[in-house]
Parts: sequence; structure tokens; C-alpha cells
Amino acid sequence: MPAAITADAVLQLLHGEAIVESDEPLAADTDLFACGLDSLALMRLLVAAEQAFGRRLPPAEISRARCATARALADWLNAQPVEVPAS
Amino acid sequence: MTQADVIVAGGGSAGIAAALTAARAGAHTLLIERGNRPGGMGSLARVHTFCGLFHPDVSRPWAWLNPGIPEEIGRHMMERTGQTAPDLMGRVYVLRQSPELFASLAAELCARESSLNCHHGVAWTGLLRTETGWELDLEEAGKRRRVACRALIDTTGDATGARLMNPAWLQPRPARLYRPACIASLTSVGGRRDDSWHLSMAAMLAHAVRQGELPNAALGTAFRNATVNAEMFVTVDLDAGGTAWDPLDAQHHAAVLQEGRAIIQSLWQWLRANHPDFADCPPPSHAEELGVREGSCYSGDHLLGGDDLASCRRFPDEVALAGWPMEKREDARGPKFRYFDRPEPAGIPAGCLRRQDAPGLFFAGRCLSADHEALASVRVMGTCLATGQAAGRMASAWVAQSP
Repeated sequence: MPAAITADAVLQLLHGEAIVESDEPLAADTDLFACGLDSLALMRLLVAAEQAFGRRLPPAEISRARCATARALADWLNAQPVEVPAS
Repeated sequence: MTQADVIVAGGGSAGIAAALTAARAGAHTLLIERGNRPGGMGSLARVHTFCGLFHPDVSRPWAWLNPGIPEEIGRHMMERTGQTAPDLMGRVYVLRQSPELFASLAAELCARESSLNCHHGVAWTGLLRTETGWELDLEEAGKRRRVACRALIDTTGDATGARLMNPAWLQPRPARLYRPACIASLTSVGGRRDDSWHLSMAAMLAHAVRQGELPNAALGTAFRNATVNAEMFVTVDLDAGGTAWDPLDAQHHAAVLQEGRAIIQSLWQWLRANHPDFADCPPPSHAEELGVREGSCYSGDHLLGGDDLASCRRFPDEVALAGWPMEKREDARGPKFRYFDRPEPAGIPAGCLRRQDAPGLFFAGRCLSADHEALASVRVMGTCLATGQAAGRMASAWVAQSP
């Protein structure tokens, strides 16, 4: 079993990639859409998360709830199989 | 030599508002525009939302921010597109607008004014100061001529007047200008495009970029519904070479426009093949020009700063109100907003539209006297309509009081 992706790891990614800006520090359950997550920022978040955590997020499964918070996004990522890097 | 009371250089939002205002005040007015039709960014670049038209407090019902021309044009646009209210997008009210309708509406309103003449396809190549005002060198269909006026309003977006006559009137430009955007319209688009549609589109595009089916630059793409059901606009924010981006460099400008069109073209091909709502979508109709968010600004008697706006500062000599947040586009990764500290408008003083040592010269729109941060708010079309109107009033008052 690969190590589970934590909400904190997703928060670090959100900060590192400057996906959203917030006056308050982001927490695992902060509503990212309320912090300005728009479709442009969401695209960058999805690409960055897939690359950082080696999972593929199926586009057909996307919903507001699945990417509304760092915790929800971590859960969605954890539900995907680990990508085997092409050799 | 042609003699006008007021010459307005630039036929974008600010120029149209300035020319209508001056003409309605009785000044013989000449509007010159380098493009082939009026509307500026709102027609030639297909910027399809009027921002800055409404009071910034979205906890209250929407209300017009600046009376006069901004409200008049906003009302006409609502009526002609069948909208009864602006859209509430996050923390702002926005009015969707049709670039085609805007160009024809502007032309129509100008044609109604008997003391206003509009010339399109005009290059402005020289500027002189005379005892009674200003003389401009123009080139029109291969012919050169000189026109004179008592008051001049520069709404060119890149402060052409200062660049022609006195570069000391320009503000130093920041090392990195706000990024340009390339826009196209897509027609015959199916489906109901609500919030979940946009989410799913974002996921599809992110996936396609990861798979290598679309270029990385496609991550800068935003889709917006037009005023007509089956039409959408696609906007690509471009990095445009980072600090090398200079809208005044014609060759670079053309290359960036082409780059933007190529991204949109590949996006359209991908959408047609992969998204059912685009199965019947004909090739994109590209904007004639790039959406330019920053060119060159005048240095006026007052330099409007980001802190002036954020603190909702008001001025005894204010001539227009700003209500749009500072929407900073420093890179191609979407806007970063600095909102005003309170949901109230800020004032734009007369000193942002004139310089004491250049009597009879006024500037409005994207080239008024604002710093890099404040420009991110006042550059939007709703505010340009307001500052243009203010410049039109100031110029016609100048003409009326000068001998």
C-alpha cells in the first residue's frame, strides 16, 4: 500500500504553486472556491496534484465537492490507483 | 487645415465616451481611431464583459456606479442582448456584452451627434503645441494631413501623445507589464453551460494537457458564455515572453497574437473531437487584436495608487468612480485580486486626467495617471467609459472658457 496522501500535503501543494490566495491561513477544510479557486486555478491544481502525487484523476468524476477542500481532494486522490511510471 | 474644438484620439470605451460627452456639450469634435471600427478592446479584441459598471457592494441589489454615458451604454447593451441584470461573479457584478453590438452601438450613438465626426483607419504620427491649442499629423488612406484643435483627449491606451511629443510626460513602465490575452468566439455550442459544466471542462482540459494532447498554454484558457445561447468566448492568457512583452513592438505583438490564435485553434480541434457540446462548432472566429491590459500611462498631476483604491479614498476634485477590484494579471496563470478594503467605490481625481504643464491636454482610459497596481482596476471598460466621459467634460469646459 502506498502512503496515503494527506490534506496537509495538498495544502503544501496549494501554497507551493500559489493556486489560491487567502488572507487567512488555509486549513484542511477551508472552502477553496470561496478563496477564489476558479476554473483556471482548478486546472493548474489538478495538473500539479496529478504530477506531485502520481495519480490520475478521472475527469468524468469531478464535482465541486471533490475539489472544494484540501481534505476532499486528498480523499479523491487516494481513491485512485498509483500511476506506474513508464519505463 | 481642419479645425476642431476637441480631438479625441482613440475610439475605445474611453474615446467613445469622451467624444460623445464633448459633442453633446456643443464642442465640434473629431474622433480618430487607428482600427477599422469603434469599440477598442471591447470590439477589436472581443473583451466580452463590462467590468467596473456597478457599485462594488454585492450584498446590495446591483446599481450603476457612474451616471451618464457608462449607464447609457450599459442600459443599451442590456436591452439589445435581453439581459435584465448583471451576473454576480464571486464578489463582483459583471455585464456580459457583445463585441459586435458594442461596435455598432458606438457607431450609432456617434452618428446621432451632428457636431461629432469619426474617422477610422487613421494613424496619428505627430503632435505640436500651438498658441491656441494642438496640431496633430494624421495619415489616412495614404494621405497626410494636419488638424488643429483647442483641446486634445488622448485615450490611445499607450499614451501616443506623450510618446510623440514629450516622453517626460510618461510614467516609467514596470519591468513586467500585465499579460495580454487572445480571445475568440465559438458558435453552435450545445449543452447547458452551468458551474458544473465549467468544472468538468477544467478537468477535461487538465487531463488532456497531462496526456500531451493539448499544449501547456491551454491551462491559461477560460470559457465564458456569450449573450447568445449557443455562443461562447474562449480567452487564453499568454505569457508572451515574460519581461520581453511590449505591446508597442509591432513584430512581437503580431507573433504573440499568432501564438494565441494557434493555441485556440488546437483547442477547438481537440474540443470538436472530444467534447459532445462542440461537435457542430465551426472554426473559431478570432479577434482582430490582442487584449492588451497595459501599455503606457501618462504621469499626471495626481498619480492614482493601489492604496488610494484599496482604502476607497475620495477626492474633492474627483471626476469618476472606480469600483472594480485590482485584477492583476502578472502571469498567464490567472488573476490575483486585491479587493478594496470596504465594499465602496474609490474616487478618481481630475489630476489623473491632466498635467499642469500641458494645458488643454487630457488623458483617459488605460493611459490615465495610475500606477501599475491601480491600473489593474481602472483599465476595465466600465471605468474607461467613466474616465472618458470625465475627460470629455473637462475638455469641453476648457474650450468654453478659453478665448
